[in-house]
Amino acid sequence: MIPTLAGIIIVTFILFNYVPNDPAAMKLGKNATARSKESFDLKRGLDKPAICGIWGKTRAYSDTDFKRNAGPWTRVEGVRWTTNGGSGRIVLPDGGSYAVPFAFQLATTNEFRIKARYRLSATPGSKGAASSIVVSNSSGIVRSVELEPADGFRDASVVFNSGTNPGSIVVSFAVEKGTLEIGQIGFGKKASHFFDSQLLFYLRQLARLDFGESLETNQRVVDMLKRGVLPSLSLTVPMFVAGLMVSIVMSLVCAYFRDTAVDRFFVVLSVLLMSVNYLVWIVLGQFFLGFQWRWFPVWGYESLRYLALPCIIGIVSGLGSDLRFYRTVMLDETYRDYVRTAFAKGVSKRGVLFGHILRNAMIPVVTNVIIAIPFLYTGSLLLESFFGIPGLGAMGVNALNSADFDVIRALVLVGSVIFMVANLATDICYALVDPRIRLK
Amino acid sequence: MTDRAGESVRYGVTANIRGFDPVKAGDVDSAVAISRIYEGLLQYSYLARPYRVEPNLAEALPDISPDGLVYTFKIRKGIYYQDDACFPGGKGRELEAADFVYSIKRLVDAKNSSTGSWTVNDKIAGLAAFVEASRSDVPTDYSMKIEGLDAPDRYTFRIKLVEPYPQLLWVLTMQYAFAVPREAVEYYGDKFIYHPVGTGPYVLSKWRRNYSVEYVRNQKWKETGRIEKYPSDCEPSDREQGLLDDAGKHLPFIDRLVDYVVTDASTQWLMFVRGDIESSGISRDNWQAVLTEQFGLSSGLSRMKIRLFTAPTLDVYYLGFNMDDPVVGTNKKLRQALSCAFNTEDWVKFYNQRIVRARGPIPPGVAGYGDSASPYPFDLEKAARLLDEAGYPGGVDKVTGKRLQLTIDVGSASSPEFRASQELIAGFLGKIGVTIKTQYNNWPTFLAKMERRQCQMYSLGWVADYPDAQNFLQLFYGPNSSPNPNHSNYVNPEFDRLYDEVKSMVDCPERTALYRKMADMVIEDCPWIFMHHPTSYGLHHSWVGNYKPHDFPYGMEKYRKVNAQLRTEWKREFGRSDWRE
Repeated sequence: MIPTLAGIIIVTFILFNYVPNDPAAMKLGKNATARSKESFDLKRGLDKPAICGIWGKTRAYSDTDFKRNAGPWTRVEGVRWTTNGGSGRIVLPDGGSYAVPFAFQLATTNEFRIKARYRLSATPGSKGAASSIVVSNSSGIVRSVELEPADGFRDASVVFNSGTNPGSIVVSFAVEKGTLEIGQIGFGKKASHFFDSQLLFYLRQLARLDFGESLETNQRVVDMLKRGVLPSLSLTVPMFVAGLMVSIVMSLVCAYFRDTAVDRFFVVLSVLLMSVNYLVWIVLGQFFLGFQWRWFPVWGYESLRYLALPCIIGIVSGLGSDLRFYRTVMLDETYRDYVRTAFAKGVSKRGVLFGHILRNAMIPVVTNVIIAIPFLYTGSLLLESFFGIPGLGAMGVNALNSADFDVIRALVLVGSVIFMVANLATDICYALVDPRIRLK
Repeated sequence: MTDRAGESVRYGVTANIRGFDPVKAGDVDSAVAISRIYEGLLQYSYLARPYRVEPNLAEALPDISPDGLVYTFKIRKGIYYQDDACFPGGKGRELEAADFVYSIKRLVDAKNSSTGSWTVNDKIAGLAAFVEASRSDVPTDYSMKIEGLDAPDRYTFRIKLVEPYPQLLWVLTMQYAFAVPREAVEYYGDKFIYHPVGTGPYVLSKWRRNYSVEYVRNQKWKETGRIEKYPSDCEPSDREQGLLDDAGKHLPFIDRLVDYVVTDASTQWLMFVRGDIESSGISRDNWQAVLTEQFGLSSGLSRMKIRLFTAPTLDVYYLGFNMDDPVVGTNKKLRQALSCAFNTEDWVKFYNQRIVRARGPIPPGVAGYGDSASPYPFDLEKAARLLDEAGYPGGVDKVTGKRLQLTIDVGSASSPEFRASQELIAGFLGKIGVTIKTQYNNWPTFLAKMERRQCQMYSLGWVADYPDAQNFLQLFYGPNSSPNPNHSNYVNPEFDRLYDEVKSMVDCPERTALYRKMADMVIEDCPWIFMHHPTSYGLHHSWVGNYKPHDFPYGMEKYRKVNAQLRTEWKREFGRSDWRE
């Protein structure tokens, strides 16, 4: 179980980290500045590398390749963008110094790395080429790396510390002679150690049983889960139990009257029920039973009365497939040898049905029931949203619609843990209902 | 959903709100919720148009120093916070000037990641050092002195700016700058978003997350003798509408407010026509059943005495060009040609007239809006001519002989309606021979692309923060380029010079003239194809009184009225009738 759990944690982390996502931009809205997004990233550890590594990112300068345009370098005077004779790149002409256009001042006392893919060549008509990446602050040059003239593109990188004086750090490409072309610039901020990553941040959170904070509602995800469980269960449990009883009873009726008109009627009914979409039941139920005929409230979660309509709709829409399934299970059993023996022994039809068949059919029933249990916790997405039941289903729908990843991740994780536990429970239950199976 | 005896209750609908922390909520529904409980120095006038600010917790509009840098507010005496466990003895204390100093510090505290810190950041003297200090891991030191935020005595609050910022008055009406008692923040810690403690007309009585929010009248007003009156300055037409019947009466009128979180539009509609909630929007599915072809109310609904309110909004929707893009960014004629190809008439028709054609960046109703004809209106001949001059005769590149293909990035693909609208745009521009490829992204990817300047063209809107053209023109200011909100990365030194000049000017005819001039520069350069301003449509039941649409509807519940008897009668008469008849 432990390896499964670890696997689930890693998979959920990777899933939600590799979908394109920018929580800071989502959260801070249209007036957000690069600086405010950076603060947000720092708070949530989003500036760190994903799984491991030394270099994280900063919004002062995000990695750029110049395939399609010059990006922030448009603002830098003297810099041209071209695609002539090759892929897109920026051109830094002879005799200038071009500062990297940071969106805001770099954080102090932090290590940064700038990486450039460049080509340095002599300007036609003059000899030689010399250029360097220069990092300087108010008291002078901190670091300087010479770039090499060559025919093809090369990589260079400079690592530097931003020092204690905010705003004084300038990183520039100084072109003394020749022409410098740059195809790509990467910029990174150093994490405190190799495993100082978003994954570690996430694991630490989980260790505290903290699932983070919802972007959409500003609430702690744990609080949201706790609050949503009860309404969800109050809808799904009665729905599930009643649905199960109804379908088992109906399937027994089918088995009792097998191959008669009654059985046929139920088969036709179940096919009919199965072919109508869930949503149709909801919309029709809400409109006619709730709105038109006033039998039930249209919307709300105030008392038991409010749960009746969604419950009925849930049962009706699930009945078709359940009835088919349990009928098959029951009929399977009726053809077994022990049934014939029991009849031969002189047991009545009713006695065989309830005393033998029902008991033996418990194994598939238990399997089916336990598989369904984890879904009780996630509630019913549609029913909850339509009827205003403040459960986890409605919460999940909202979270999906607003790309609220912390919430979705928590729902998936808790769901899978419950599923794991349920699997274990199935095994135990097998042992209880089937004496041939022993737990070892 | 039943009233207690003798009580007037208003039932409404809200989206899921993001808690009651004024600095942490940027969306409309949360701001509306917060502004029932908290208040700021200033507020919008309810009835008077054009919009103006009036004092709320301040005694009067501030004294502004001649250089426009120092704003001195006198704070009203005898304003009390609601009773709450966070105060000694559970008794709400009097509001003082220091509360505003504290609240603005909270707003810019980097640890709060506020959506509203832009309202004051870089504008108040000495604030930067505080913001910088708040970025560290240690708890933020709120005792730190800030030059520009000062409470010289108990009832005087002074803001000192680094440069003139006349928009400060608008900004102070927003929930971000509302007065928050320090005791509550410290007492509740990270649970503060659930426990609002304000001075406003209502207090939170019950909040069932994801389900409902309930407010009741703030008894502290009565206890401390605080009196607010219904306004009498208004537009001439308001008197006929009955909006002045309550002028001078004491606020608020309604005892209890209940808002349900109903996400599904059809459910919301059923609740509305049953009379369970007081107001509703009109979903696209219902559009034809609700409105007649002349955009009046259908006969069934007018029989049910439902009232329709339409109002223009201050939002602008546009197709932006990335000025960094080598194809569209450097070719002004091309952008103008595409603007001329945009068929505004069909566009308005597509939206069932729910929108108004946009002429420039400034919406109607805001000073600086010019209603003269656009120099680049829908005109296919002109478009073809401009396209020719741009080097793409008939949409084909003169040099390479290839057909021009442009990519429009959009941030959602959710509804079929949205997809249809994008196809319509592609069709418009296709008329002049340009091939359009629409790139559907999810919202976060779209934002990231704009931030990294990777879009060629993009479809976006801007919702006004305050009714001042500066709020729109900032989207063309060079230093605001991506990752800041100028996603077109439009840089025009002349525009930037004017912007620097105009941003420190107070409202006057010269400023309006400059706004118009700047808007015209933008219209000429076409960094955007201006699409439309939406119109809002709202339905209200007859028992809701004193309703007037407002673009910034914050704190306005206190003016509204509910006639419970009328509602009971209505329910008896129409509660079971079919609205479609």
